[in-house]
Amino acid sequence: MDQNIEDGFSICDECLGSDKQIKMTKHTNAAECKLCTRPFTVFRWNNKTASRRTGKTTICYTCARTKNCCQSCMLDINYHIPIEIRDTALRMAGLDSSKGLLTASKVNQETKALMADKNEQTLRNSDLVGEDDVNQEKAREILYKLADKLKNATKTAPKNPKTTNTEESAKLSKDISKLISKLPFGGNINPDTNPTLTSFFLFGFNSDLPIYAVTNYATKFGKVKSLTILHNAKCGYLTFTTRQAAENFASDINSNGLNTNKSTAGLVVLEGKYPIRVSWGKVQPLGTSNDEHHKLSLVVNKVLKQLSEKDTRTESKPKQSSKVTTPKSKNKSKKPLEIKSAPTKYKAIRSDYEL
Amino acid sequence: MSSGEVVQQSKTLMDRPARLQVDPESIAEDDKPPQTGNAFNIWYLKWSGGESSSKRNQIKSKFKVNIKQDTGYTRAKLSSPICLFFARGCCYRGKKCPYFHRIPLDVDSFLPTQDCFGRDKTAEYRDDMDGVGSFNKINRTLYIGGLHMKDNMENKIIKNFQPFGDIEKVRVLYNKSCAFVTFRLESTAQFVKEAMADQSLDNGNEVLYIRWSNEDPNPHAQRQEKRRLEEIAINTVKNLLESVQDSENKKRKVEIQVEEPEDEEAESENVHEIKQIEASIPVNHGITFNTTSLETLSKLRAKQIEKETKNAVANAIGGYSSDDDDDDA
Repeated sequence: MDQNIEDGFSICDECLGSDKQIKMTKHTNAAECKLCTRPFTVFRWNNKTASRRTGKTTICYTCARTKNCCQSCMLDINYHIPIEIRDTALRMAGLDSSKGLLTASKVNQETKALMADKNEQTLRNSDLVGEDDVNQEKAREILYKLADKLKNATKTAPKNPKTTNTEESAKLSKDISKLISKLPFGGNINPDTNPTLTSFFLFGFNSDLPIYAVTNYATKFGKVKSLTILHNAKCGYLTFTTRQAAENFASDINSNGLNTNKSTAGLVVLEGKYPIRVSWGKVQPLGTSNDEHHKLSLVVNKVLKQLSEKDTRTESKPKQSSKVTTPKSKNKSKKPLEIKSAPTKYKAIRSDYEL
Repeated sequence: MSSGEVVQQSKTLMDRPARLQVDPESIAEDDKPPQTGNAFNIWYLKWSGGESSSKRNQIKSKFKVNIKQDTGYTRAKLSSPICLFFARGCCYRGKKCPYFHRIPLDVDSFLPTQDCFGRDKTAEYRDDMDGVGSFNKINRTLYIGGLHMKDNMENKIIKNFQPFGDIEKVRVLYNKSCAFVTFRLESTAQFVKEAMADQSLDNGNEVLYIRWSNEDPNPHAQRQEKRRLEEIAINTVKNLLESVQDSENKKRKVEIQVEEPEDEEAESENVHEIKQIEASIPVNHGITFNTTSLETLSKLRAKQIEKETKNAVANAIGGYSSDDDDDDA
């Protein structure tokens, strides 16, 4: 069994390839393990059928076994997934996989080597007991357990944290009212209202909106001249090079079924999960400091909140056929699809400042 | 430029030979950077010692990659990494280069222990957060320093970085004149780190200082990152479950086939082959086998069985019990 520790290797199929015969060279103590910094036996091999022609082990057998990964690609040995992902999944299911080993990054070399020695000892003991044969079974069991727990977990998905509270809104001072007064929160996306503009004001998105989702959508209609997305301020600008492209963009949003009231900012849900409000708007400065951005985001939140209040009011009037259920994220689920009139909303914002 | 467009574009660009970025004749014999210290370190290509050693090198790179112009086919094979010198804009081999001359794409599968240029990652970051990066963490965010702040920096950064791949997030700190850029792919971040280091935006005067970013200490961002990881984890587990169920279905099939009449000849051939596998490595190289390698072998055997099933030589499998398949999950 001692031989195993010295000469064994744990390399996944993907790295070894599907060739029936593999020629390997073994070099004792040829390199320093990248994790525990101890010398280890390096294996090198060539394989025409593997995704990579040549392979070599980069971490020692002990480290690979404690992490349950491949010595060459460092993916999970059973399922071939990144360890980071595996550990997250295990943690979600309440099964802590990290045995508290080697994961701490701020320990010095000697500690690492000592810990690795310790691990080696425990592994050797487990070998003597013959635990290894059970590991495969165990791995599968864990997967099923995980699946059960995850099913429950997805049902009670974590709620998005509340971003506004009274204290934060109290911090709102008047110094950004100048900025805000220029922002077209009450704008719309009808092509005839702004016959020369090529730019749009985007607001009300979540902080996880990826920029590429916006560009992917926008470039369908024409070349994008400039794009600014301030995740902290929850607003930004999109400019097309041509008026034609901008009009196409606007009319596409107008006709996507989410916007029956044409006098308000258009709503579009990108990639099925990122809702954005869009209205025509000249590019205006959005502030540069953290503070300003934060305040802007509070204002945007407030606008959205007001819209939702208005929505519940207008819902009683059966005028609208806009009962479209969209896959919106949690904190936007009550977001309205309609705004009635822009001026009243501005008043509301102002009154918030006076608070 | 959208991601689909980028992929499409780089595909059409790959139809032509890669442009020679630098004429080999024009390379000076001695291409040391201007002297900023006492001694030249040939390993790091840097001057050390002297007064200015603590200051970072503020010399703008002579070359810059132009993705639209420079992309093209090379002698690279399917699993080759991307050319590091292409990213820096100074590959003198052009179409004869054995590495790819293009941006990293979704379809690439770089070894997790290496970056997209095939350089080995390390366990820890360097103290200055430069270098190849860590394999312990998937880092898609870069720190961009040395910016000259103007209005609407976000747009400027998006414009300059978009040709290299999809950008997820740009956060500019105006009072610190730096920015953090998150990309969709880790490989894009690796590429950009090489391609934009010591460059300037829109041919300005600044010299960018690009490093790996540390974890965002903002609790909101951390929660978001955690959620993102969990989402990925859920998807991965779902996929795994599907594949496990698939393989179990296969197993059942094999079990059914056991009842069919057996073709003795084919079976014995099979056994012979497997014995060969088991014999080959220890005899040739004297590697002692442990359970893991034996598992690999039994996996090989299981794969072989599946292959045979596919070829409709169903009878050949008869001799094996389903036990061999257990490891396949």
